[in-house]
Amino acid sequence: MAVRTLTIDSKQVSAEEGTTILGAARDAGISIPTLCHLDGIYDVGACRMCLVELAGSPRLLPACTTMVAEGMDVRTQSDRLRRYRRMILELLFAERNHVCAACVSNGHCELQTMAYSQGMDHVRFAYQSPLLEVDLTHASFGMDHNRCILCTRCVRVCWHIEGAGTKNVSGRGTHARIISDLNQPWGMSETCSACGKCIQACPTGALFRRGMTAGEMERDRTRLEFLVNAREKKQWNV
Amino acid sequence: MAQRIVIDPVTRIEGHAKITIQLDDDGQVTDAQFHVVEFRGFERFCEGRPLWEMPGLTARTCGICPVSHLLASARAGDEILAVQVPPAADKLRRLMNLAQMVQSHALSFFHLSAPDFLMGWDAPVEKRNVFGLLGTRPELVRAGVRLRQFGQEVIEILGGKKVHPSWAVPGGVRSGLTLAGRERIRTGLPEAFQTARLALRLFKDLAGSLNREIQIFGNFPSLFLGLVGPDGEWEHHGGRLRFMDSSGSILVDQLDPQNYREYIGEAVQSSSYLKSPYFKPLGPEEGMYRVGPLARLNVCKSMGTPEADVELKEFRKHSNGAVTSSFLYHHARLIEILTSLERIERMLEDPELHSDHLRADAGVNRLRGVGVSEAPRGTLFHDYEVDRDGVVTKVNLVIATGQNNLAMNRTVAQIAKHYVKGPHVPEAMLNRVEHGIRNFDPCLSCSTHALGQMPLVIRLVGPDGTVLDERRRD
Amino acid sequence: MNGVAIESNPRKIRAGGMLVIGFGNVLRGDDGVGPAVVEALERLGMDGLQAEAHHQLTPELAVRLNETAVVVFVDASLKETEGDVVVRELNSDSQGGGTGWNGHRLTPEILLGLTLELWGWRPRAWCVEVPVSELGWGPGLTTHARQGVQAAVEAIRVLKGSRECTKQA
Repeated sequence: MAVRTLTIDSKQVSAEEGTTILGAARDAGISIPTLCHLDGIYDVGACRMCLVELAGSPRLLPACTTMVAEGMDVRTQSDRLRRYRRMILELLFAERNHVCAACVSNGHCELQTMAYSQGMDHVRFAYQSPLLEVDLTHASFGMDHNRCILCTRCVRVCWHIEGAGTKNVSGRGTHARIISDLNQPWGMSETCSACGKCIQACPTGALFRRGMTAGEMERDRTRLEFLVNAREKKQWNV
Repeated sequence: MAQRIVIDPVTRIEGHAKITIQLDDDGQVTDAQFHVVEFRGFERFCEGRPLWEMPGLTARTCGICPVSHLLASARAGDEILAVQVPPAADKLRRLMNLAQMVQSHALSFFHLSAPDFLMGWDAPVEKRNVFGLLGTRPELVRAGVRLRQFGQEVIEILGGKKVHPSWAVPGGVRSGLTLAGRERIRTGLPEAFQTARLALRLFKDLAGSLNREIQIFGNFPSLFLGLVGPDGEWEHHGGRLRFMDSSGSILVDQLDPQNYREYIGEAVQSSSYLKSPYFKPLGPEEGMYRVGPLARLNVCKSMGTPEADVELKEFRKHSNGAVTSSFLYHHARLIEILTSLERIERMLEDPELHSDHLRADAGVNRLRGVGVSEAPRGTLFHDYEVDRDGVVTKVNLVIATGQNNLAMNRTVAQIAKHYVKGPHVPEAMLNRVEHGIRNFDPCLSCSTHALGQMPLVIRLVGPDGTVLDERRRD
Repeated sequence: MNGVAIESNPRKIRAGGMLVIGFGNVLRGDDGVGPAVVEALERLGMDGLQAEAHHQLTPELAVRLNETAVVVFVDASLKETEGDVVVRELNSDSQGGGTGWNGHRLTPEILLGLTLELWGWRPRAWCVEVPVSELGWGPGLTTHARQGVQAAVEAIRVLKGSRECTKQA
C-alpha cells in the first residue's frame, strides 16, 4: 500500500494511504481529543472534538474522518481549536442535564474528563434543561437520556460489532434520541441480545448496568477492540 | 387596638422558621405553632430517578444528618429488592449510624445547648453561645469539637470522603472496614468515652438547679415512638416500632415499619409548611407523639450496654411512667452518646466487619418499600413507590422534626404561658422559647443558607388575628 | 459582567498552603455554587491548594483551619453586587453575627473565631461571595451562577498567585 508523508504539528509523519489524520497522529504520538471515536469501530465525525487545521484550507476538518494525503500540513493545537473544542463541550453540557455528583459515571466519564482536560470551567450558553426520560425497562441495563451526548457509539457497536441493529437515532436537532428498534422501551426490544457492548461503549453515564450507584460504572473499552481484532484479523491477543 | 409591630421576615426564598403565639381577649396564651420549611420539594425531584440513585440523592438533603437519610434510603431500597442484606453490611451500616449519633449529639450538647445552661437564661444573647462558653469553659468546647470529630472520622473511615453520599446502597454497602480503619477507630475511643462521661456528670450536677426548666420547658404527657430490638432493647437501625404513652404503657409493639401508615397519620396544617404526623388511633389532637433521644429512652426496656444501662436507671428516676419533660432530651442525648460508644467498642471485636460479602443483588421485587432508621433527632421514614422497572414514582419522607412538630408547639405554648403577660414579647421569653425549640435539636439544614442564618420569627397574635408584636432572632 | 473586586487589607504574613472551603446545599439550585467552585478547582489541580466541599460549616472544621495557613471560603450570595464576585478579607473585625437561634449553621467569621479561641491562632482568611439568583429545589446551577463559578476560580487563582494574599500573619 502507498505511503503518504505529511506534517502534523511541524513533525514529519508517514502513514499508509487510507489512514485518518487521527490515526496517523496517534501513531506519531500526537494526541487529539475525541469523544465519539472508539477504537475498533468506524468513525462518523459526530462530536467535532477532533477538529484540526489544515494549511491552505479555511475550514476545520475532523481528524477522525479525514484521510491523510501527500504533503498535508496539519495543526492539532491552536487558540482557535482550543476555543472551538471548549465551545463544543459547553454546548454538550448546556444541551441536556449533566449532574455529575449523582451520576453512575462520576469519576469515570469521558465527557467530564474532557471538560477537565480542555479547561472548560464555565458554560456561556443557556441551559436547555429538557425533561428527559430514564428507560429502566431492560432486565440488565438502563438508559438515562439526560446524560446522552448523541455520540452514537452505542449505535455503531450494536450494528457493526454485535450485528443486532437494535440501537438507532430518531429525530433531528434537539429532538434527536437514541432509540431501541422502532422507538419502543428497551425492554420490549426483540432484537437486543443483551450483549452489553453498548454499555462498554458509552462515554458518559447515559448507558449503565442496572443497580449501579453514583460513580460505580466503570467500563472496559478494550474488549470491543479485542472482538473486532479477533473477528477481522483472527488475532486473539489478550 | 394594640399597636402592630411587623418586621417582615425576609426574602425571596422560603426558609425562615416562625412561631405564632395565639392570645385570647384577656391576653392569655391559648395556643402556639412552630412552622418550618417545606420538605416536599425534595420529594418531588426524586420522582423519575432510578431507585439506586436514591441513597446518594437523599443523603444530600441535609448537611447535619446525611447518614440518616443515606441509611433510611438504602433500607427502603432493600425492601423493594426484597433482599436480606449480608450480615457484614448490616453491621457496617449500624456502625456508621452510631458514629452519626455521636457526632450529631455532640454538636447539639456542647455547642448549641450547653451555653444556655452554663451561661444562664438571662445572660445576654451574645454571651449565651459557644464563645461565651469558650471564655469560661474552653476545655469543654475543645472536648466537644474532638468528640464530634471522632464521629465524623468513623463515618469517613467507612464511607470515604468522596463516595460517602452513596456508600450504602439498596442491598448492602459498597465497601468494608479495613484493619487499619478499625485501629484508627479504636485509638479515638478512650478520649471519646472520657468526654461523654464528663458531659453526663456535668449535666447531672446541673440538673438539681434546673428543676424549673425541667417543669416548664415542654413537660406534658404525649406518646413516644422509637425503634426497639426483639427484646425491647434500645435500637437505632433495623428493629421494629413501638408506641408508648406517658404512663409507660406500650400501645403498639413490634410494628413492622412497612405498616407504619396503619398507625401514623399525617395532618397537613393549613398554616404550616410541615406535615404533622400523629398516632392514628387517637386522632390528630390526642395522637401527638415525640421521637428522638427522649422517646427512644422511654420506649426501650434497656440500653443493652452496661454503662448506659446504669445511666438509664438513674434517668428514669425523673418519673414513674415515661419521662415527659422535653428538657430532658439533653440528658437522653448524652446517654445515647455513651451507649453508641459502648456499642462501637463492642463491634470492633467482630471479625465479620471485615468480610467482603457486602451486597445482595436482586431486581425489583416489590413496588413499595419503607426504610426506617433512627436519626439523631428521631425516627426517619423513607417511603418509596417504584414502577416495575425501578423508576421512583412516589416519595414520602417522614422526618423527625415533622413528627415532633406538635410537641414543639406544645413546648412553646407552655413556655409562653409562663412568660407572656400582655401583648408584647419580652426578651426573657424569647431566650427561653429558643431553648424550648432547641430541646428537640430540630434540623432545618435542608434549606439554603445563602441569606445567612435562617431567622426565627416570633409573632404574638390576638384573637382577631391581628399581629400584636413580632420579634426576630437571626 | 462578572468582574472581580478585591477588598484587600495587606499585612505581614508567613508562607504556607491554601485551603478552599466551598459550602452550600447542592440540592437547592444555586446554593451549591460553593461546591461547584471546589469541583472546578479540583479539575485544575493547582499546586499547594486543597479544596473541600461542605454542605454547611460545622465546628469540627476548626480542626482543619488550624492546619492551614490561608483559608478561602466560597459562598453563594444573594446580595446585589451587579454580578460581581466579591472577595473580602475576613480579619478579626469582620462581623459574622451570632451562631443563630438553632445554631446548626456557622458563618466563616464564627468558625475563624472558634479556631482562634481554641488554638490561640487562626489562618489568614478570605471569603469569595458568588452572586446567584435561583435557590429552588433540585441540583444544577443557573447560567448566572455558572458564570460566577468561573469568576470565583479566577479570583482564587489571583489570591493564590499573590504573595501578599498567601503569606501568613
